[in-house]
Amino acid sequence: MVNTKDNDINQEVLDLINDIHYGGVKRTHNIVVATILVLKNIISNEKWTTAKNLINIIRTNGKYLVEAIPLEFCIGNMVRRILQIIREEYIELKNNTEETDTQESLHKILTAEGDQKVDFNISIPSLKSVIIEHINEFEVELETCAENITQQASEHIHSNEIIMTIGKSTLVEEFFKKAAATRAFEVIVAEGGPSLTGHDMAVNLSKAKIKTTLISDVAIFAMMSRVNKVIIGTHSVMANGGLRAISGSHTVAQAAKHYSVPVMVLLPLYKLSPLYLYSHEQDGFNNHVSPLQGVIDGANVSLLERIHVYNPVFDYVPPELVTLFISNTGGNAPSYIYRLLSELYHPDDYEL
Amino acid sequence: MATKMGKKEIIQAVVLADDFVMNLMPAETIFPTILMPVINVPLLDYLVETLIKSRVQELFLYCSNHVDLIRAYIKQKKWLHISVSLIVSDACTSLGDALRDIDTKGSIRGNFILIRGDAFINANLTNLLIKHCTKLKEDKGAAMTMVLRNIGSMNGSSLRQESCLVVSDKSSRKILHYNVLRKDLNKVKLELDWFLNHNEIEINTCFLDSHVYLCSPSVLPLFSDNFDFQTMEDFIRGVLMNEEILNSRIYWQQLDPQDYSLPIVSWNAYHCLNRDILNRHTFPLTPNAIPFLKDFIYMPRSTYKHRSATLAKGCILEKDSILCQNSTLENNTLVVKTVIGDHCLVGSNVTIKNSYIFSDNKIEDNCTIINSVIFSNCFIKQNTRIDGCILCPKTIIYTPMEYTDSIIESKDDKISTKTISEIDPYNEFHLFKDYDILENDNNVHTNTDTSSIDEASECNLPAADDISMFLSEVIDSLLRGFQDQLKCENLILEINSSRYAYNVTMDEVTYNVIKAILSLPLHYLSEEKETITSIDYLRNLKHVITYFYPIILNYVKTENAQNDCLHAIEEVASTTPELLSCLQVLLHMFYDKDVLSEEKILEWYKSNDKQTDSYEKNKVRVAVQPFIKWLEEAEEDSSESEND
Repeated sequence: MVNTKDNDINQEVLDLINDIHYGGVKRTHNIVVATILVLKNIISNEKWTTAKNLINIIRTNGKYLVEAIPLEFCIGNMVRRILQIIREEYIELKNNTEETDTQESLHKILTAEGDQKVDFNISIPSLKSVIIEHINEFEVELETCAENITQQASEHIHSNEIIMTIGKSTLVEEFFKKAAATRAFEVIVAEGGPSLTGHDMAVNLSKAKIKTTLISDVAIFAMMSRVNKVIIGTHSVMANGGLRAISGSHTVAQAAKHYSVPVMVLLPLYKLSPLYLYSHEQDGFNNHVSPLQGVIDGANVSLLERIHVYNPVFDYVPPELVTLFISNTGGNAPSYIYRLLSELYHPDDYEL
Repeated sequence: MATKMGKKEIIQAVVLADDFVMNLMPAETIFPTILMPVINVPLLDYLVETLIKSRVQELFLYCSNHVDLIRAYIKQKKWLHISVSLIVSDACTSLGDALRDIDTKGSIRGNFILIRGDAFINANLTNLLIKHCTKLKEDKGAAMTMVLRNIGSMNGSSLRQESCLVVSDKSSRKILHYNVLRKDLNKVKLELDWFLNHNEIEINTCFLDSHVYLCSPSVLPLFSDNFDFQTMEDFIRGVLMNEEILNSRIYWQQLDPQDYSLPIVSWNAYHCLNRDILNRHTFPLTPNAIPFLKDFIYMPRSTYKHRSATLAKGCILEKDSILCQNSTLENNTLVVKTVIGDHCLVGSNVTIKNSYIFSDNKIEDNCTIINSVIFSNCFIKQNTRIDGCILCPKTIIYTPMEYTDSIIESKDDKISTKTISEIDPYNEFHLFKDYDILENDNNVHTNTDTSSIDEASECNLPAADDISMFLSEVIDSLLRGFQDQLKCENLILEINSSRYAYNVTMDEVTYNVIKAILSLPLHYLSEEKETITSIDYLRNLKHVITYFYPIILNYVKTENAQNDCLHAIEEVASTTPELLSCLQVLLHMFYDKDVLSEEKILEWYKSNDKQTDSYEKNKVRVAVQPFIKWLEEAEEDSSESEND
């Protein structure tokens, strides 16, 4: 349901919100693709003359979208990414017309005097086609993103290693399957209560002929001593390199720290968000679902009346517990996240 | 599936805006049940959300009262994914009338979902309807499927009054009997036919009717044909009674364990629903998960604060509370289990517990509001105390005083109060009165205790009879055993068998056996036709006790049993003067024979001490005083000697 007062919001944005809210679009990757598509349509269909104009349109729609679905950080990431593309293309076109040195060099970056104000008010007719082209490239990048990550599997998983993971992540599953094509290794799957998505994961892996052991979450610490590596997926990554991942991930990461087992996180770059966790009460950080979904039996009303039960979906894993992020551009340490961020997004867009 | 019209199957739902019962007095006079605010948002919004999620495309909203309000509300909301059409009728006074009316309109084409106006549900209704349709394929006469939620035992819960009895065939889930268990109902009659005609039947009291019914097209004609069907209960009863003639059957299905539903059938249920929403049991119909309840900051212990709400210094949102848009709490205000709506101003040092403050209210400093409902646009002057009241909209309280158990309304600057117990002599109208008792666990125990005592005094009178019967049986056995010199083991067997026959608990057995033994000399003497003096009594008592020593030992083993034994002694001693005089001899005897321990006797004596108001017990205390003194001295001696 959408309030009708929002007249300047594109109809496609409203439809997307409804689709995501009522479960028409699921999984982060699909949401990302759908968001990009909607934003691209806005760029090609809405009336705008200057880059500034366009940035404002994207920003209002994007902000509305992010506020309507605060839990999906990737939507905000995509809006920022599109804004960055617009800026980049505009500056390039402008510089081309002004015939200045377009070569980016380290020296130039160092000597640049602060953030020089770029005037976005000049209308450049070819801007639209260039932006659309760039976005198309970006869409291709999104498509190949998962593949780029799984291709690195053989670099990280070696023969006869024991790897632990938690819950179900399609990317991690593909990663294991890719590695299993060339070598034999063993996977321990923590079931990831209370949603128990690890069960599906274990079934899928064993179907792919990977030696799989399913353990309950309480056994994570006990099993960790024999594990060589932890490889997990994540829902999103905060600006400091902290993870917002399925609840139970923190336990795994802590146990891994205790036994000095490296923790690797598969990170498609669209999950990298320029936001920080400042408080666990922060709205839109965690999703608290019904405790009846696996934590406590609903057929015990006299108990439920007297107690509080919590069922958060996500854990926050601090960056110091993560050893390596495996992104589509290669492996990066958490301390390098800031650099990735500055490449992907413009600082002006961190706050939409 | 529902209907096969055109290219797409359209699932239809009928929502009755009113439930035609006055359980939520006086809310019905202010707005229809469907617009009752639950956490600040009308119930309708939650329902529509569930319907859209379930991909229901067509909703018929049947309204008879407050039509303008509903019409205005529907106009203001514009739902995109569902077409909402209003069916208006002024003359309708019951659910039966409404359905008959819908039948004549002819807009329902296939299987449909019928939802009563007080329902709250978060399950996928289409899945439920599909199950109903498969049932319909098996049995052409399946008229309706009830949706029941298993909530476990309702004892000790505030939903006690809503429990119902469901008897059904186990394999097919066909309902054989359904009725709501009234509070005063202590017996349930089970028909023999149920057991004879079915292989397995299921009898349940743990289900709660969700007020959502999955109906075949045959339901509407059934209502039209039978003019005496007024309520849903009538319909169910009627169909079950005339199953063969009407060729209709009612089935039930259970909600998935993670799904939630609770109809607002009383203020108590309303209270539960609000609490469960705040506890997120109703997810996804919870704050921050639905578009009309967003921008809340979720804090520990299920407290929420809207981003635009303000808490001043020293405010405490203790638990299960929510503070909605633009509301303000001043310094040191305490809020417990309370919903505060939009644009409310609450002064400083105010205490609000278990209450519902709807929108646009103003409460001044130092007020106390407990167990109350305050409708919108009220004004409460400082230092007012409100307990268990309902304030109608636009009530203005200028005189600071204490109000309890009333419905308060202000007309032309005058306040009129009606006491709730006067309006509702049968006490069917509960304004979370019981809930208050559930506040903490200690109280819960007292609550359950009193209810069990109530039961004992009201309905279980036969149980009390059982105990006295058991006592006389035991006396008979013992008397016979004493006269015929029977073996004690055999007597124990005899007592145990009568214990099972009269269904007596172990504590009561001990209590009654001791009582019987103590009163035995009296019976014996009266049988021998001798005059009863305390000397005779004592002589006989000594005989009896030495003879029955094994029996006494058999029953008085544990500390609890010792307590029971002492209580029995006290009871008999306070009624028979003969025993009173030789009470200390008896206690000494029990003490020597290790039946009673020293600590227990002293403990009993001290506990007895406090109840000095009772003359009888006082007597008992005086009678045993020398023995107690001796015991205490002996104890001191022994401890002294130990010290030496």
